[in-house]
Amino acid sequence: MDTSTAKTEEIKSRKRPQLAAYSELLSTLEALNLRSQQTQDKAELAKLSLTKLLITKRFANIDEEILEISKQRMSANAGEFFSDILVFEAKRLAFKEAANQCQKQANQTQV
Amino acid sequence: MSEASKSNSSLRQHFWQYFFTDDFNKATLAAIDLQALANNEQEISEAYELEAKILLKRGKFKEAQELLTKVKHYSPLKYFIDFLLDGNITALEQGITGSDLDSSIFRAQALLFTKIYWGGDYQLEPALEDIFAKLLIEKDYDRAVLASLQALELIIQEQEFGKDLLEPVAKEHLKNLLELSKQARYESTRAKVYLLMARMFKDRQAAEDAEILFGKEANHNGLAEVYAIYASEFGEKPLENLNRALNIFKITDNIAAQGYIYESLASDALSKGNLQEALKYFSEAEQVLESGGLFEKLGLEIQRLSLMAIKGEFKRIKERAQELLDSDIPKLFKAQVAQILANTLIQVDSDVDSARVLIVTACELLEDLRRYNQLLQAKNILFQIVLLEDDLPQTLKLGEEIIQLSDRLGDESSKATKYVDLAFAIVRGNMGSQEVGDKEMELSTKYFNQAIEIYKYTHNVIGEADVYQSMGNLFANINRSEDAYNSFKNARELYKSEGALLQCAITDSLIGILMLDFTMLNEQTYDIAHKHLEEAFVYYEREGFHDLCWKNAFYISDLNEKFYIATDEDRFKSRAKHYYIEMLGAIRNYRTHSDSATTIDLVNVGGISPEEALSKGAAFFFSIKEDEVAREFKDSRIDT
Repeated sequence: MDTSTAKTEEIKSRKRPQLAAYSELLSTLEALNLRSQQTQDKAELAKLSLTKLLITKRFANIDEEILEISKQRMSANAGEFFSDILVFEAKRLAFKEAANQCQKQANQTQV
Repeated sequence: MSEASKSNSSLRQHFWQYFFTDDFNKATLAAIDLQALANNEQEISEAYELEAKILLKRGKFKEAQELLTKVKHYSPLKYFIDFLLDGNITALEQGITGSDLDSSIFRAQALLFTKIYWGGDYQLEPALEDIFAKLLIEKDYDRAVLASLQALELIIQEQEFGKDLLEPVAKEHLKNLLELSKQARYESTRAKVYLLMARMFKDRQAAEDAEILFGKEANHNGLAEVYAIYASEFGEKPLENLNRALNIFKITDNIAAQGYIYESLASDALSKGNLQEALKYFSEAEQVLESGGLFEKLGLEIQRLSLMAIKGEFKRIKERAQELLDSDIPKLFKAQVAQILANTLIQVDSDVDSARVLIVTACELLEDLRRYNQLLQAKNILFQIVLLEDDLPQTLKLGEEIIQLSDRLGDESSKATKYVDLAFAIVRGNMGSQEVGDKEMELSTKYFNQAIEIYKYTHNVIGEADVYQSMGNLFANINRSEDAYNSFKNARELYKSEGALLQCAITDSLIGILMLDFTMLNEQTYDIAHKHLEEAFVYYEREGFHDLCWKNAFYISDLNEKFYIATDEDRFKSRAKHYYIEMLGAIRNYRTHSDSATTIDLVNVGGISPEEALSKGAAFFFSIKEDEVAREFKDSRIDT
């Protein structure tokens, strides 16, 4: 196996569990957003938002993943990494939408 | 309940009231009274701990450590303070064995610090959630909100990527904390939520709300923090607000905050080119932070090294940096020291190979720590090294990589700088000649314009000025003098409009030197060159930039000597004499203040050593038959 193919394989093997984890984090955030909508208790709301924050922090590592893949793509010059980036970017966009819901929710609470 | 117990309990209540409203003096008095009223060893120890908590808030870690030696029972605070002073996480983990709230809080905080400075894969999320939930069960809303604020700040600090994801969630959390803080006992707690909102989201209204709430409780420390934020985050009357805050922190004996203000004042002075003022403030910061912790001290070390670099004390940098690299300091500081040393080695010894090893190490450390902002800086130094090696494909690749990283970090300024560097890289091989092809010039100009666009879009006037200065340097290097002059003029105007005096003076020098290089030096260009060089000289002399001062004096002397030779007019002769003498004085000054005979290049077209300048001065005075003065120049050479 040449260096370029080895790198491709390495990224692929790292990518699979990461993608699964990101999907899970996204569902958790969406579920927490729902729970926030269903309660008025201030302490409960604060607890939920802390959990959301910690989940988002874990998800934010996706950026590091994307950067890493981009770097590998540049050095390995393998076209298939481009589609990997798109997959990550799509997950990221979905997560960002859920994160923006948090802010909207907070604004509504204040009104 | 006995009378003694009653007064004990009321004192305790008072202590916590003063603690949460940051009245350090009264809280300390309450803790001392509690020590006097204590009925047993346990109560005395608890009272010592309370006093130590205030010392911790004031940033007096050593005093707190000393006081806690008197505590006889298990004290997680004691281990935490030891950690802040020596950074030994193993000792903390072995010491903090309890599962009480204080133990959990101090352990989590220490681990967060460890993660930031040393790296490591600590899973802190469950601990942070657990602490918050327990405090809520106890209905201790003040502590719950404050603990959450602290965690939030550290989380944001630690996570450099994905800020756009974190921001909306952090906003929601802060809004929820704000609501929760309505159930807290003290208005100051709510004010602190507003304070963090002001800092994190540049929310001016939040800063005002914090000011009102702190004012209600006469929380002077809190008010001082708001003033500091008005200065640092909103740029409002920086000196007035920082000094106002400083005076309050002096009265409340809050040395940690004083140190922070002195550092801000020093950095403000430095950005304006007031070196002497910066050194004065830095020395004040050093004094107050003397009893601070390991991180504060190492932060000071880094600033000290940076100031040495500005002052040209390269020999001292090399010695101190090596000592620090050989010692057991946290990875984050090690990476910073490696960068400073690498820069010095390139600048002074042109030792690119050693610099490369250091910078690659720094990059590895920073990547491991996930400190991407600093990684960006390190990669930029690596870029300079690759550039020196004249490897264009590698330079372009690394340049693009840096632009990509900057983009991820939302660092527009870094992106722009790299475009400028790439603009240079394209024509670098042809510098010094007039043979830059149209295609290269077109690409290079495109990169420059991309940089200007970014700075205009982000309203970064200094950045825009830097690009014009770089364009000037590039044009000067490929003998397009008129374009160079126009670029420098643009840069100078922009620097001046922003009060960036050092940059303005350097541009003055560059214009002067450019005119000196004109093949057709004439009366008109003489006047322009003389005016700019003279203005720069006055500034360097006043601010004590000794290295720049003698070099600038040399260029004015050289300019006048050239004109004297061409015209035989006495006015040029006497000006040349005057500035050569000024140059001699400036070189002596430079040698007194510098520990090394090494120099910084004023421009990238090559520097001149003091020895060469003195020889030139001697030759001039011999040529006008003033042998005695000439000999003084000759004798001042170190190599004679």
